Amino acid sequence: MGFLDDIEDVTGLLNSLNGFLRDAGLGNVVEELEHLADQASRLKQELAAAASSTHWSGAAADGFRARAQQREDEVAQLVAALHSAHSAVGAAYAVAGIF
Amino acid sequence: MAASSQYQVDIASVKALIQAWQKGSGEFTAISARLSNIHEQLMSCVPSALFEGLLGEVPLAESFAKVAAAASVAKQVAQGLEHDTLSLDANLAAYVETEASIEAKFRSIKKHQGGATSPHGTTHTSGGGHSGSGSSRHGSHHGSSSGSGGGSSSGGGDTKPPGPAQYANQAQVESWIDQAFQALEASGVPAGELDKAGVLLIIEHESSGNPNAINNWDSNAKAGDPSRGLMQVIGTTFDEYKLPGHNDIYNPVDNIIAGVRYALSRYGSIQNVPGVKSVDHGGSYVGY
Repeated sequence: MGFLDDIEDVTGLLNSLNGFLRDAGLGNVVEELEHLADQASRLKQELAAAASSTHWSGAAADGFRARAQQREDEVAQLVAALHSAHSAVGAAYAVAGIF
Repeated sequence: MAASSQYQVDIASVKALIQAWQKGSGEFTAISARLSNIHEQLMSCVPSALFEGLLGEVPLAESFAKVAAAASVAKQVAQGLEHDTLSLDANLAAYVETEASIEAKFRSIKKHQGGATSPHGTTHTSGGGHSGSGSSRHGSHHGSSSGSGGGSSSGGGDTKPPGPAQYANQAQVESWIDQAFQALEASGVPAGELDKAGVLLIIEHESSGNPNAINNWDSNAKAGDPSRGLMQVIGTTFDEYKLPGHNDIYNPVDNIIAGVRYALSRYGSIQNVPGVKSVDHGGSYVGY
């Protein structure tokens, strides 16, 4: 098989990938991942605002503040994970010709 | 300082927090479900032969796996928030129960004393372990802390408590109130204006009987003049209303003296302090 044949094979496979993804209604996944990352970021801010505007004291409050910080860190991890997925899937889609 | 929008009764504040956490849990659950669904669709719509054929050209498996990883993290967040919500619900129930206990004691003593010590027909008391609150604190804030008097813990300067939290029982708090009332009477405050049960109610809600209580989170704290002591008085108010020789904001008797003098000046009577008035009318305590 020659060089051009190889290119044609890859191009064909990518075209097939493009078709499968579009047929499955997954053409907007990259955009949706971006939207989900934005949603997670917004929620992170809302939770932080709720935690900081709660006025209470004592052991329960101290314990909660520690957990709230943990949740904030976890949501930050989620946002990072979503951005990572967005980039990776976006790159794959781009190669397949889906923009 | 009059009860302001900055001050929220603990229970209402915690209820709002629970609602925010529940909403977050629901939305992160939905995000996780959607990500899982996307991953499942991605994996199922691409034939394995295509995966293999594009190996080295397009890292499909790796990129799709990142969607699954994000779904897992979202699920973890949702579960954590749900767990927190259960814990917060338990805390809220304890607060409500304690609040009811405090108000029951308040009404019991009021009934027992028949309002004899109050010029307003009622007296108040409290007890129990309601965790303190307090954010908008007594008297208008006069800008900078002036500090005065000889007490090392007076309004200005070092605001740190002299020691850790120490929650006094009701008998101890009543003893401090009696001592403060004696000093107040000696200074000319009519005995009929000294509503012991009302002061007890305020102390119970503001500091839970901890003379070393300090509020480090509200606007007064941010302004460098945190509410302190049994009645959660800010330094500038303390300095304005303290009596000579009673200069230590963390001293329980000194703190009560300043707090009561402020309350009488600001509201005309202990009975008219918003939190006392509210509880007396069947409502929840609010800051003063």
